[in-house]
Amino acid sequence: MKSAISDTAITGGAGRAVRGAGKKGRAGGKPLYSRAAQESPYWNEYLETMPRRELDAMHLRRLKGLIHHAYHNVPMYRDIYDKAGVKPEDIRTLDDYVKKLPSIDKSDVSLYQKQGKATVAGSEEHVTFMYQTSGTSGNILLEPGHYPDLVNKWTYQWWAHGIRPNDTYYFAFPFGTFMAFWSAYIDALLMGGQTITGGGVDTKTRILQIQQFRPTVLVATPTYALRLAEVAREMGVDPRATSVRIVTTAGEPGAIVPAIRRAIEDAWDAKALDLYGVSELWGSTSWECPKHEDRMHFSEASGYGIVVDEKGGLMPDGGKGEFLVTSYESTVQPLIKYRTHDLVEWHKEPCDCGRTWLSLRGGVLARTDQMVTVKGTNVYPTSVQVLLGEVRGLSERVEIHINGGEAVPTTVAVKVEPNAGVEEANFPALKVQAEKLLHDMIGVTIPVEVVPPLSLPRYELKAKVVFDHRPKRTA
Amino acid sequence: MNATERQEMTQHLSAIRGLARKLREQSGVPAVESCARWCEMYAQVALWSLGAEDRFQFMDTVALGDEKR
Repeated sequence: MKSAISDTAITGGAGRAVRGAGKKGRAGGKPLYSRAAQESPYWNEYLETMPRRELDAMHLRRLKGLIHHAYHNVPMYRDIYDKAGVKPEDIRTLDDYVKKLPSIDKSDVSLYQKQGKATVAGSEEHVTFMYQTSGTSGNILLEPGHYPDLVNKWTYQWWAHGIRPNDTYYFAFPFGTFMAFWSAYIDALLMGGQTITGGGVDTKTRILQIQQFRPTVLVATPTYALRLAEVAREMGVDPRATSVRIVTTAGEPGAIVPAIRRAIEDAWDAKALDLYGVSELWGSTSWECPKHEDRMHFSEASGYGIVVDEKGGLMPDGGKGEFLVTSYESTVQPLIKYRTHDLVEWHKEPCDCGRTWLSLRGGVLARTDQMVTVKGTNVYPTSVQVLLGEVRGLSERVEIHINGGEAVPTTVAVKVEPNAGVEEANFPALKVQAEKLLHDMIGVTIPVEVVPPLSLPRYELKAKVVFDHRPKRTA
Repeated sequence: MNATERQEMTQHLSAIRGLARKLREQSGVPAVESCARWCEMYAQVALWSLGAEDRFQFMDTVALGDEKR
């Protein structure tokens, strides 16, 4: 793999001429950062290594301020908290926050928005950005924001993984209504890198631009990073031979899923980075640890996260449950104790990378709202996808089909592409292997169909993985 | 805005720019230095808006440090 460490991450950027070296980064002159900063493995050591007790004290101060602000300035919160019989002054401890404060859901915010009730604090003049969620879960939510809300979503991760101001970013992103990569673009400017925008052009043109501008960092969804590599090969361009040394992704599960990591790193001969965030939280993000590929650190600079069971009770350290987040970044439209519907396993002990921030083992393990029950067993489509990635010979291209109805038991079936070069004669053996693994690990029979390579649809942003064919319930 | 007011604003902006530059050069914290650099740049743009300073000094003072720029 190409070196994932920027030249100036090692040298402090003391003017080493690397132009033309291609895979390492742009030329250095007088660096943008002091030597101490340049050599720091942390973007913000003060917060990233703060002892848990101090972190929790900071969270309590911030939460109290935010809850008070929301109650007195946002009609939605006044309404919700009054109905729950809670006043801001009732929240005196983090335990109060867990036990007394109602959580809110995307559907709550969407309903208030549709009814024209204010979910926003302050005047319209404070709204400098308006984005929308991508609609992964059906409802599209408006995301009004203020300029500084966009910064420091990606910088922590990029700095920890050795990206420095002499890197050049290529944004393989249409710059539409979906916020995620806008924040990446703003963060690249904040950090000081050179940005090349690949908006408004087709995939082939993007490949040509990558050859022309020689970026070191590719920013895309995991699906699109793989699609770019596929198209490059069709054009006779070897993506592994390009200048890209880091592929940094978001928008859907990426490198935290071993099969997707392998696919991206093999395709580009580059380090794959994964970032998990919920866009309406304005990027209260988690990102993979620089020392452990199997875990993500939740950015406690950007929010407060807890993990709860189905009844809202706090899960113990190491437990699995739904991740509830209060964002400190969503200042215009505060989202407090917001249900992400993402299933995570949290750990509070300090990491040996030096960070004290929460660790989410395996990143997002599943979407709680996509769980289906098959013959009494809970099945998470994301888990099916992760397990299939462990079968040597199968690719990350998967479709999971859910069928059933009121009087018909729910079933799950899978279509999966093999890796390129796997001969059709091997498909039956792969099918048997995959079905056995799923049965052994999940406990139910899930039929697997191995389909020819390149037969599943390709996507330009996020891949559609789960297809729920069950009749929609009417209220 | 009269000349005195303009001069006062210019002095404030120069002070902000100077403090920001000091933080940028000496804090040792990337998260602080990056914001300080933007503070310094915007103070420079505001000074430019008031007719003071040569805007291109900024290229030297912030030292983007790359012949490509």
